[in-house]
Formats: sequence, structure tokens, C-alpha cells
Amino acid sequence: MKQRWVRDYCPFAKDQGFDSITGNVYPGEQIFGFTHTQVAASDIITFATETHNKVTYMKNTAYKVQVTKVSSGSVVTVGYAYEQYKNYFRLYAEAGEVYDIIIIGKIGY
Amino acid sequence: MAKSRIDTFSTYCPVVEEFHIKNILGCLQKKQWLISGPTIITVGQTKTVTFDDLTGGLLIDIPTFEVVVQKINVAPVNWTYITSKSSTGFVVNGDNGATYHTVVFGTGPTKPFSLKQNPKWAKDYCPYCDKLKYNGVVGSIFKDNVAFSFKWILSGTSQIIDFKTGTDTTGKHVGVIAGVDDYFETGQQYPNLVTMMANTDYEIIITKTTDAGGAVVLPPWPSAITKIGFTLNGDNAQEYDILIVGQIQF
Repeated sequence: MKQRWVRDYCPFAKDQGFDSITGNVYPGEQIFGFTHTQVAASDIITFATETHNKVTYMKNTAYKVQVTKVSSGSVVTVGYAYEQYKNYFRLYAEAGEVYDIIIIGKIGY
Repeated sequence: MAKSRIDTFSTYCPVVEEFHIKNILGCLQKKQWLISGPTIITVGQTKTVTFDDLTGGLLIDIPTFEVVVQKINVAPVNWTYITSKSSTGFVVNGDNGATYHTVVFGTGPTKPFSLKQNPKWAKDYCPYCDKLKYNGVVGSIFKDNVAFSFKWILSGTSQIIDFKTGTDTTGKHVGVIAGVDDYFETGQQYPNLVTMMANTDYEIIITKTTDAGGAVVLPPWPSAITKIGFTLNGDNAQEYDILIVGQIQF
């Protein structure tokens, strides 16, 4: 049997040069990411601002957040997210440091 | 028979059935990739990770990306962070001899055999992508690769967690708050979306996502990784978001 790749079926994957695509288990979830420079110990991370209005709000508050510090200097405070609302959450981290943030969930637009 | 408000991808797409991925991860832009892999700090407290190494030469240049990283197996002594992000890679900072899982969400990398860009989006080809308002779908260098995420409230400072429970949707609203506008209708839910992984080579990323207890005391880390789950270590009674990237076993 011929071994096929996703590109053999999906014209979008072929357009983009993807041999394959990333699956998910929950229907309807999307992924997006952005880099945030923390201003204070607790910043409000608004999706509309961080994504340049590509995402205005999430469909529910069950989206997942992953955070990693990406600026120099050893970690003093481990970054974490809290107060998850549809249109924003709070990031507790070190002021002046830079963080990469990845969100997975359903987008409400 | 009641019909789910969101049909499964397999209603439309042969990719889902053939590649055993259940559903497809959408994204906002074209040419976005999710790549992942382990790395070990073998000298000092830093390790340079190149996309070339991470993908076996398939992707060598990613102009824009976010990276998340997680120490596994042993509690972090030097808390983990990333420096020196460039289009060819990044540097993991942590503990000598330790293994780290890395997950990169990249946009617009130039493949060695890049194709001419087509103006169409995924939603222009695919009725399911259009229905779910996916502009694009996320690329991968592996067949059958899946990224999924779930929340877990840690009981104690160390607890064995399993994917079956983490992805259980039986009788549950998907949203945290009961009554929100997104749920599986009775009889249409998948009780356990993931029972086990195909192997133990999957990547794990963990972030605390609750204000309870204040600042992180024990940075979370996974240990005793098996096909059906792993041990989550962290702060008692805190909620964690867990990202898994790998191949699932049905």
C-alpha cells in the first residue's frame, strides 16, 4: 500500500509545504502564541492587544495557557496565569522580563 | 438521534481517519508549525537547540516563534528559562545533566524546498475548517502527531495523573463555568478523548494557572512518564494547564 502523507489529501497543507499537520483531540480548538514583556508583577494579558485583533475573545474560559521566560537572567519568580476570562487573563511574573505564551482553546472571535 | 452541534472532522476529511488524529488543530495564520522534542544539557547550565537538530534538518529557519520548555524527571534546581532566540534556534537554561521538553510554535519558516505561496486559506478548501473558522491548520513534520491540553488540580505535591481522566468529557461542560455556551450534548460526547499515548516519547509542558496559593513555590515538573500518564509534581491544590505533544494510541 502506498504510504501517503497529509499533503497528498489536503490542498492547504500542500500549499504551505506541510508534509503533515498537527492533530488535536478536542473538536474546534486552535493554537496561537505571542511574546509579552511584563510591565508589573501582575499584567492583564488582553487577547485583542496581543494578537493585533486576530483574537478578540475566547469561546469559553477553559482555554489552556503555557508560559516560559525568554529573556536573560535567572528566574526569580516562575510565571503563571490566573483569572482566566474570555477576553483576558492575568500573568504573574517578573516585571521587565519577556515571556513566550502559547494558548490552546476555542476562539470566540 | 440528537446531532452534535459540532460534527467530527471525519465527517468531511479523510486525513483524520487515515492519520488517527481525531481532530485537527487550527491556527490563525498561514505556514504555522508545531515542532517539539527533548534536549539534554550536557555541559554547564545551558544547551543550544537548533531547529535543524530538532527536526532532523527538515526545518532550519523559523523567523518568528514562541517556545515553551519543561524540565522532566527531576525537580529543577536552576529554574528553567530560554535565552538567545534567533531564527535558527534558542538556548535552554537549566540544570546540568537534565532533560528538557521543548515545544515550538513557529510561523513562516522557509523550508529548503519551499513552495510557491497560494493565496487560499484552509477555510477556502475545507468545509470543516470554514465551519470552525480555522484560517489555517498547524503543520507538522511527523505523521499522526497530536497536540492536546487539559487542566489538572494537583492533590498533594506529587500525584499520578492519567490522560483518560485528564481528557474525560463524560457528562461535563467543556467550559470551567457551568452554563457557558459550549458543551457536548448528552450522548454525543467522547467519554475519554485520550486513553494512552502510542509511546513515551511525547513532550509535556506544564504551567500553573491559578492564583490560589500565590507565587509558585515548587515549579511543576513531570516524572515517571508512561504511556497512560505521568506523575505531576508541584504545589498542593494548585491548578495546572498541561500541554502534550506526541502520538496518541486509540
